[in-house]
Amino acid sequence: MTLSLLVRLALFGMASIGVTFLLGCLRRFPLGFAAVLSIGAYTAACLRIEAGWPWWACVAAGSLAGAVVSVVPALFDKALVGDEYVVLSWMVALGCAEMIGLMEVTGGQHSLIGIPPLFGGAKGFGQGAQVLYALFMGVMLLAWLFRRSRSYQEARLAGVCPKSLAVAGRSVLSVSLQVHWMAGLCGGLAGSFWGALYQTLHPSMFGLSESVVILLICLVGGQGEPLGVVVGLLVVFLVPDLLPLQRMAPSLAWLSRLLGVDPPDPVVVVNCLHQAMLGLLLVAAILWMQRGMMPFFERGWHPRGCRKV
Amino acid sequence: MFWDILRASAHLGAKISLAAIPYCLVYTQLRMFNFAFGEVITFGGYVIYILVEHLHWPLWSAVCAALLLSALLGVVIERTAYRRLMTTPDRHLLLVSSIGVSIALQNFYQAVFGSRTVYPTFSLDLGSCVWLVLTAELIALLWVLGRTPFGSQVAAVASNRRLAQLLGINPGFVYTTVFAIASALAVPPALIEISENGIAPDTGFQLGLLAFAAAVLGGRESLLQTAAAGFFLALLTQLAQVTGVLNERLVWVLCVIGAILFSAGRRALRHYLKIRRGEDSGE
Repeated sequence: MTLSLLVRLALFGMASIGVTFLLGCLRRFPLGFAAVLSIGAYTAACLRIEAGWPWWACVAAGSLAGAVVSVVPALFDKALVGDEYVVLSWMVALGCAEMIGLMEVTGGQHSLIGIPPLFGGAKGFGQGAQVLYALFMGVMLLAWLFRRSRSYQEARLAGVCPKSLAVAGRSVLSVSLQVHWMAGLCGGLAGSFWGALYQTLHPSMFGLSESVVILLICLVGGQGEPLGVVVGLLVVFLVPDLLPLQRMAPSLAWLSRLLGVDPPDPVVVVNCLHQAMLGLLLVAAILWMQRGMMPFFERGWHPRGCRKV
Repeated sequence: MFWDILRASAHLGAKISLAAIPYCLVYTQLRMFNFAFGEVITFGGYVIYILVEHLHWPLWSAVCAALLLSALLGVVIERTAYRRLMTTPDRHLLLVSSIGVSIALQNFYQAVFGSRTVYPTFSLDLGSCVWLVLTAELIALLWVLGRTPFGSQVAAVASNRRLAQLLGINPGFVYTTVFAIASALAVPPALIEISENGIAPDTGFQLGLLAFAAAVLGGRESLLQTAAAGFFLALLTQLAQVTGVLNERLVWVLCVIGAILFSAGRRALRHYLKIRRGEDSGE
């Protein structure tokens, strides 16, 4: 497993921790969550390049900016029904991507290059990855504590039965805002490390497929379960690599020739098949694994007859 | 200048409306946006391209084959990806599932055909034909949904699935038929798109985004309003292009956000007024 893949796992894991609570507690599908990452990434990168802020201040500012974007759909959360939240969050993401593409400071439609790394030198990327993993562990610990807190129960009630929460004297909107704020902070944090580690940013890096990967990690692992994020990460990033996609490329080239078109490059074909697998995995997770894989593990630890009540 | 903008928006509006009608048709029945319609449009385009260019079929027979195959693809998508979720109260799961289907199909097309745009050798000067097709399609759909027993069955399943089942209506058959009709309706916009701009794996996705925006803007449930919203969106897009004030994509994104917030606000206001009325009458 390469260091680059490990960094990618940590970045997506950190972003997914917040989203898992949105799914598990509030039953909300933020289809445009990649926008939170992009706003965090661009805020941190621009502050670092233009204002010369230290990296930790840029990371903090990026997290805050991500949280602000995440809160926007939450302001209307109570009034939205059906799939309106999904559409709104997606449209906010598309709007953010277009705005980033229009601004000069972000590089416009071109890549923003030359972002200073967290640490200089040959081992700078590795040291940055260590900091990222330390933060990821910290966020995981906080999420685990939140999972066992009273606030989690309230947030869950806000999603399942908001009326009972209102009867208990708690504002549904404030609980929803808290969860969105938390998710946005995690997403913004992941985003602000993105630019610093890869040293280049482009609006297309935070598209629909990145949002789908984040949703998939949470769905496969188990909604509202911090440990489920780790399970989801392993499944989503490792399972498509185990599939014989490279062996499928010649068959598709044969199909292309049969249909009278030139077959594309095998590397492109494998990449496309990988993305197609993620799409199919999303459908399968929605159809058959809405509670994710964590309940299977829990059932294993507490077998029938001695299950915790 | 003004007439040029108006003519261009009328043509683009007709194309968007044609693509938006299947979205609206399925939404009225299932309360879901089938985002995979964009990929059905691409499929229809590729079928026409292959049959005409490589197998040398006449265009009319290629279009007929595309209608049948697109309807078949729609039925397969409905049976595999949506049927299990039809009874779920979480309607957003259907939308997310449809986006999964859309991503899978779009990448499959790219794996087979590559990412480049292919242009057919045939050319169609569709001009006012687009208008005729749109009008005919709207009249036919309004007649089928409003005046036929099948339309009554669709309305019954849409309003109360269980009650419709008790009355002897088979909801599964209704879903399948509506998906087949809606998917077949993806072929006219595919034909227009392929004759004007060629076809690429993301052609349907891009047109589908605009159609989706028109369907949201048109209130989602009325075919006529959706068609009108398509023209409005096209006019805004053309104006944005000409004036250069805003990015055209940003224009329709803002329109969709505005439409959602407007409908949410209207609902909240209605709820508030209902509570106020209850308080005034001492309930």
